[in-house]
Amino acid sequence: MDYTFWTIAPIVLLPFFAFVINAFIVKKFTKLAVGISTGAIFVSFLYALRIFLDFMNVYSVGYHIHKVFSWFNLSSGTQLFEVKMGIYIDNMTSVMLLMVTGAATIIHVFSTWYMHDDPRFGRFFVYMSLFTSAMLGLVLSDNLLSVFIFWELMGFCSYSLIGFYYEKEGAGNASMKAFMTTRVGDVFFLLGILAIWAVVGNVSFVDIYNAIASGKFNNLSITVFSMGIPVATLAAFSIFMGTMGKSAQVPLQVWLPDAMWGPTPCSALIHAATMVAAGVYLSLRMYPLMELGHLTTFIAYVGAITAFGAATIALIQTDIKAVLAYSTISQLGYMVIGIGVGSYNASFMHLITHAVFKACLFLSAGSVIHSIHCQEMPQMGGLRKKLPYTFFAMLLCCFAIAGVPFFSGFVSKDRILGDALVLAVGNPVYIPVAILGFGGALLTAFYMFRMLFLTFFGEPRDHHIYDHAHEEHLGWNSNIPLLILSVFTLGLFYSGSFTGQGEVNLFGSKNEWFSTLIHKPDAASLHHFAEYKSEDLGVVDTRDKLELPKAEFDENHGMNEEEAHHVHQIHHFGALMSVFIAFAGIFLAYSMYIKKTINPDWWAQSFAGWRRALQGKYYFDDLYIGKIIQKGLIPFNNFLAWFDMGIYDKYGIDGWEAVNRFAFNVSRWFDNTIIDSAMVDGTGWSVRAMNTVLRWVQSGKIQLYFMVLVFVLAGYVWKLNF
Amino acid sequence: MHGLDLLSWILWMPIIGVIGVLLIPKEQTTSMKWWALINTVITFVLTIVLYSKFDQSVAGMQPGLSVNIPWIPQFHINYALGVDGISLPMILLTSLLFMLCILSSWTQIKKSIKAYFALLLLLQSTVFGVFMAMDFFLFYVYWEVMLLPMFFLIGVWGGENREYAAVKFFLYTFFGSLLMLVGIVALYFATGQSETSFSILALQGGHFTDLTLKLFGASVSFSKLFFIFMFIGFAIKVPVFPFHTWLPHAHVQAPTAISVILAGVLLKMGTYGFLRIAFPIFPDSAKYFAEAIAWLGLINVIYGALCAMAQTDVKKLIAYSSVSHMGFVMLGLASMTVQGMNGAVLQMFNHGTSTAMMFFMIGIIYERSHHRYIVRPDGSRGFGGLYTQLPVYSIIFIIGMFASMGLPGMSGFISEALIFLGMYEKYTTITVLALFGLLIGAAYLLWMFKRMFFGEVNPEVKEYTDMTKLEVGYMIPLCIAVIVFGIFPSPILNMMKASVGQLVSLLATF
Repeated sequence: MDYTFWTIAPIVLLPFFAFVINAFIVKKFTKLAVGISTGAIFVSFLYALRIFLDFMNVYSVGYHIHKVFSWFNLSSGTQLFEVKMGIYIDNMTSVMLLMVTGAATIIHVFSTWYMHDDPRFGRFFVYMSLFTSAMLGLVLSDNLLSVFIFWELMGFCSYSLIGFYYEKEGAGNASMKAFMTTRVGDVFFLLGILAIWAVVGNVSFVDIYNAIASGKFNNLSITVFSMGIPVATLAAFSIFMGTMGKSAQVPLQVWLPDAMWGPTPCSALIHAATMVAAGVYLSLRMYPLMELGHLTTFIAYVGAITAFGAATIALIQTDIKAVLAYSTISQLGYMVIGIGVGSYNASFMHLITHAVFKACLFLSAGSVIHSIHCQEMPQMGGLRKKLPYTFFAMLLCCFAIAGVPFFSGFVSKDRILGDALVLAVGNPVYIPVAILGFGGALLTAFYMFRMLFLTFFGEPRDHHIYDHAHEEHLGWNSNIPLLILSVFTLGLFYSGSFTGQGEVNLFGSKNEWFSTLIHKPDAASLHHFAEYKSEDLGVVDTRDKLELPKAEFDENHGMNEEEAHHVHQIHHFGALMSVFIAFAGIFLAYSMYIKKTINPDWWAQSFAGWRRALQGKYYFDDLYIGKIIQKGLIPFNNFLAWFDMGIYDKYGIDGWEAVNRFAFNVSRWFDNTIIDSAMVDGTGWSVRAMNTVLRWVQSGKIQLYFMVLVFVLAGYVWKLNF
Repeated sequence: MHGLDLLSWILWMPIIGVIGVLLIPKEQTTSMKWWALINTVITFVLTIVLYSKFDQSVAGMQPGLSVNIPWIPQFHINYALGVDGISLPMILLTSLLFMLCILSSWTQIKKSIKAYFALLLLLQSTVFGVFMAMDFFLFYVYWEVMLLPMFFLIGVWGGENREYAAVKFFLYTFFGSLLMLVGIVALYFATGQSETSFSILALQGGHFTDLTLKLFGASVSFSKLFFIFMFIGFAIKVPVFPFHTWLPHAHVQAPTAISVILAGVLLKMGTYGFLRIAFPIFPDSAKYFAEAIAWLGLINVIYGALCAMAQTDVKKLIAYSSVSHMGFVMLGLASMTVQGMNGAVLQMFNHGTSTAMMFFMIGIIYERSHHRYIVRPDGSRGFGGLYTQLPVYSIIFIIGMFASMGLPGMSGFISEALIFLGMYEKYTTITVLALFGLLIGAAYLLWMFKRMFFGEVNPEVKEYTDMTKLEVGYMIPLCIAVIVFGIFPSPILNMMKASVGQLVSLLATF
């Protein structure tokens, strides 16, 4: 395919124009606006599909498109400075594009059902269009600066959508919390951009890779607060902080559960499938830097703590959306573990598989909530008869997220855990990571099926709600999206082979497209990027694609036979353990909530202390809001403001008036008592005149000051010149 | 030269307006307003003509547009005007904001309308004078004359404590002006009272590097001493900490349009003074004090933002946010790199548009509520639920707020990012600390927004009506400016880059 501006840019521009048009027409032509938004994202999806198919057709690791244009140029004379923007598409981008446009289209369609009786039906789509165009812009970006721009724009959309029900006080708090928490990460992200810019000269991915390959970062350190910090570590840490904010990693995870104040489809798109995954996407893109900055162990720990910690909180949630929110945090933790343990393509695969099944879970939860107007699971029960399609979709998704074989979540999560296990075997530092990872997987299987059983199985616990379930309201635009998404929870789509070269294998296959095409930009392969030439955005791509060699899958990942065998053994062991853990979790949930052979209350009483900690969400909110902000920041600000006006301005500035007045009184006293009485009375008149003048000067008449000034100046200049 | 040149037309057009307003009978307030509006529109069109005639490749003063006529030849004082890439954005901003301010004052000003519009137009002329003057004496005259209309505009049409604020504003600036005056006189004698002693352009280039003078018996560097004098003179106007306390008073007391002018244009005169006078005339000292300036800028950014967070009066909050945002300009200036300096000039323009939006919006709500409390002194909410009650107002407010916050895609982001890029290598620690200014900046704005706009509708708020067509009308140009220049900053950057680059090159040689 020949790539020009018009084959790529519509992906971003269509939703953006939909946003611009809808912003003006939404009030009068709500239905039209909804149609424009949905249509635009669907056409975007077609464009993305075209690109994806082209990439699958070429099927080469090195295939990429890199087009740039100048955003602005400050060069003048010898001072050179230009900022370029660009589009960079490689295999990873093409998959990401397909996922984002696909999920967005499906969620747009679902929203036409979910939001249709909302008074702000149209406005929802305005934000959604802006959001999708920002997300797609981020995916297409070739440099960190434009990633940052779209990243913040998404933050704005997220802010607006969390605060969508702005009559509610809680929505206002939640939206502000979300924006501020992610902004903490963003500030560091910007610092990372600055640090990289200072070394590389710009922040284009390809140039950063080249700079790393050519050793520009080696032995380079920068002084901050009189401490010498290696630039690579500073940059890697700063950028990973961005990931922690956006992808809700501990300790910046606090905003995501509150983000559930937004409408459910927006939770599905923004807070499950795309925006929160963008953080992981960023760290994947910057993987070589993370390696260079020796940050991978730290990343693995952050991911493991998040994955496990969030899973424990999910155990006791009763709100169906809260369970999903904590589960999202936990799953993002797995992706981050994947980055930390070098499981690059598995981490990315988990990003994609999670996007699909979590979007589906949110939409299912949405259709439950919309049908029974209740979010509390203890009031549900037995809904599978009322909502059969929803139940089916949710069941498949629960299999996927729990890691049951044949399903997508198994394929991706198992690889991450397998790689963690391999590292743990070789290096005891990683043992806690592996333990927390597997432990979290057990909890995941448990709490997901707890949710499923509480919602859909057993007897209805609240007959009023059950009897009034509006299943008749479910239309094609609520069920079809669920069914499409649930089909893609099958592992086959990710571990299969598109070229038909290999057999489909349940535990990952030879020649499977995902592992073949998504290649880790590690130290060994970075030098390839020196050949990646960018071209002008307006130019038609003329390279002969057929010349590119088809990718070969190296089963041993460059290891020798013996090592590979060792690794494979550990992987197989890990896979068996994953399967065992998944079923154990499901069984546990089954015994507790269906068979009732295990009493949940006994657990609650036995671990009462821990349960309190879980209910307090490990007290992060208390620390941040209660202690740091309420007890620290706000009193400090009040003190500063008081100091500024009450002390500094009142005494430091206005105090000069008192000083002046004092000086005036002293001079008057001096006049009256010393000069007037001590000196000859005859000269007294002049002193008094002087006194009068002084009093006159002290009058505070501005016009007078000004006049005197002009005269003094004139006289001064006159005297000196003539 | 046939007739009056373009710069003089722009400079004197508001004076024609003043005369016209004064000639219109007192009762015919509507014709006065129309006259003032037409006058500012003509001025705006003239500045657009100026833009179209502007040659972006010229770094210095535009040769075809400069004026130099002897004014007081005995002292070599000239009526010298000029325009370059640093002053042109300011001139455009000035003509735009004054035009919108006339519209905003249309219904908001109710007493002594004649005097108000006459003074407002007079103010416009003096502001143009500051941005155009190429003669130091002329610059000083405009700088000082500007105080008079400002003093009366705050002191007569302001809030309940207006006289205090007006006097404070006056004395503060006046103190700085005196120091500047001493500097002007000193330069006049240091250059031997020659033909070019008052010419800003001739003084530039670092001619005073090696000059020393005796002061109380000690030998003092001429350049450093008078750089400090000039610095304080301009710093008060910016305002740089610790000379900032006049600003909250002046803003809170001033009527809406005057707050807009104050924050949008007058503060920029301070930083313009650095760019036009203090830095190029004493480049060695500017370099010498750069780090100190950067620290002051940092204090502005952080201190201003933290103080803003504690405010319960929304106008005072925005006033402190100006202190914070002007700190970024100071940081950009202190960086003395091409990114940082361009960022600083761009920030001057962008802050002009975004903060003008905020002050306009506060004025609009004040007309309905007659108070500006986010939280009343008794602890209850001043507003609440504005989002539900006033949807159009809320959306425009959001645009202004996020532009002011520097959201990417809005104009403020590019200038702040350029400033950070410019200063990172030189002042890494300061940059790291200043980045937290972005965080606090978002915090106080969002917190204010949450308390005013979210939640249940206050009973009092229920009576407010949404924005009128006129109000929407004068907000739209600013909305367009903050969004369009956030996506396409090139028109403004191209204007300034040659002139800024020249200044950076000059500073680099010291």
